[in-house]
Amino acid sequence: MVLAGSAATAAQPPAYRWDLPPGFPPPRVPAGNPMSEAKAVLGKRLFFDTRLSVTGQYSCASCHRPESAFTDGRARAVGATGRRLNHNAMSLVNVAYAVSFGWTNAGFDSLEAQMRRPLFNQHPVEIGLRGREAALLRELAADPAVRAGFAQAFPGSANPISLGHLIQAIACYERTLVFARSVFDRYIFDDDQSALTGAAKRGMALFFGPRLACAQCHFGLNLAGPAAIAGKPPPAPIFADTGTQGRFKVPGLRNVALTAPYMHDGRFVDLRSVLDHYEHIERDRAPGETLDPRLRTFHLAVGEKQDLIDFLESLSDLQYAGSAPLH
Amino acid sequence: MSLARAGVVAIASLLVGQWSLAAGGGAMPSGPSVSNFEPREVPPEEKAKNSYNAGIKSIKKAKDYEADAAKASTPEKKAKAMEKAGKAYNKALEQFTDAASNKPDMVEAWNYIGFANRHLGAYAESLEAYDHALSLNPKYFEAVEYRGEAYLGLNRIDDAKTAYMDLFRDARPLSDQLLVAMQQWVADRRLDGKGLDAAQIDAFELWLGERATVARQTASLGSGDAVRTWK
Repeated sequence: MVLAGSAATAAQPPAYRWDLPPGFPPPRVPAGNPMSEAKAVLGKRLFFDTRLSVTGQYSCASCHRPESAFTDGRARAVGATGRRLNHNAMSLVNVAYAVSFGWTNAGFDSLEAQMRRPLFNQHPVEIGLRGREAALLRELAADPAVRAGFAQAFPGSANPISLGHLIQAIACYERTLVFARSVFDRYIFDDDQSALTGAAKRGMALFFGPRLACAQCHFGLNLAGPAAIAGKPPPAPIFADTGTQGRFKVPGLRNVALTAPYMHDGRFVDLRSVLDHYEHIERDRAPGETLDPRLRTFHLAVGEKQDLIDFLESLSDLQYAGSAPLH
Repeated sequence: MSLARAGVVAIASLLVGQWSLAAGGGAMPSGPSVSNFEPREVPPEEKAKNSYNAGIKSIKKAKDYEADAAKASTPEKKAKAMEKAGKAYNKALEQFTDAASNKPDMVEAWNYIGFANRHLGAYAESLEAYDHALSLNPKYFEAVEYRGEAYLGLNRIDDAKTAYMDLFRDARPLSDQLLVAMQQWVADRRLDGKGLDAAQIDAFELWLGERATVARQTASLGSGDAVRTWK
């Protein structure tokens, strides 16, 4: 018994070591899919693998492009067959800290659960994997590098190449996409008082201050509301009606300057348009629409809007922008 | 420093050295032999726990005396209360030192050895104890905060700033606590510079003002589980 126990312990992969920036605690990870380097490496390969799609020309990265902070630059994403999807592609930046997934409250509480939608959706088709599952797994098994990747990522599994493992590996990779080396982070976490310009500091005061109260929704380390932190129970996500005809998820604002266009349907082409919308939200709201009570009515003086934009631009992690690192 | 206090500080300092050696591979001394006719020897762990709990009570007493001193109606009453507080801190120091001698890896006891020393004005000994606590557990952030306050006592401004930033990143509530201590330190040094010139205090106060603003503004970033805006 003791020997068996020791052998089991010896077979355990080493604990995953997060390489997190200052101020960022380890995110909450589903117990059924613990992090591992081998899974993340495999997941990265699969994330960019166009064989997953019905056309063979489309991958997760088609909508979540590293150079656009893992968005696609379109107002609404486009699926593998060319059909426009319902929503703007959400950024995957710091998605490990998200407590819900997707613009609408569809009950997805993990990346693993959410990922089934783009993989298998048919109305509209996104990746278009439905009906091709067995063929894809055969194709992946015939690829020596991918086969080895699955074997390393899921040691001891009698059936390492499976759809469940594919989803787990991609989710593992996506959780490594932590971007928090912006000038804002250097200012607050590294005590670099010259990192932010005076305008950005004024914008920061507006953002977090009571007059605009942006942080009523955009709080937490990802500026997306509650964050999923390891060792803490999962908090409730925030969905809000911000004058766009429906309640949608509060998106994170890290790298926001790189993720235009904005809102769930990409209706605003730039940050200035978003701020214009919030400034005139009472005037412009649709008849009968109930706005989120956390929203404030405000007017921005000359220069203040640019200060806010400067602050929002300071949230971009340019160290990794355009790359797709594991860490 | 009184002779009695100096003795306790010396013992605590010796203990740091002794256990540093033990941690490096030295053997711990064996206890006395126990015959069947002697009363039960209290295990070291239990002794440590008892001494630690007694030390906590002494700290509480010391703080009560300090509170009495703060609201004393005459200088004489204040001095009397502060004298009692000093005695209670000395007693606590003995008790935590005893706890640590019985359980060398008791981080909490080392933290309080630092705490009592700091309140007795023995900042160097205080730092030594905090350093030892943090060598045992680098994530014992309470000791980081207390050590930051000890740095202030020694006018080591840059080290205090570093302590603050470490706490800001990993233990926000404690960074807020150190910030308050820093603001009090500035007020105290304005009255008595203790070797610092006004320009040094001004520069630190400027830094402190900016960090206080950042801390207020970004209070909701740390935990991610509370909606707050600064007022």
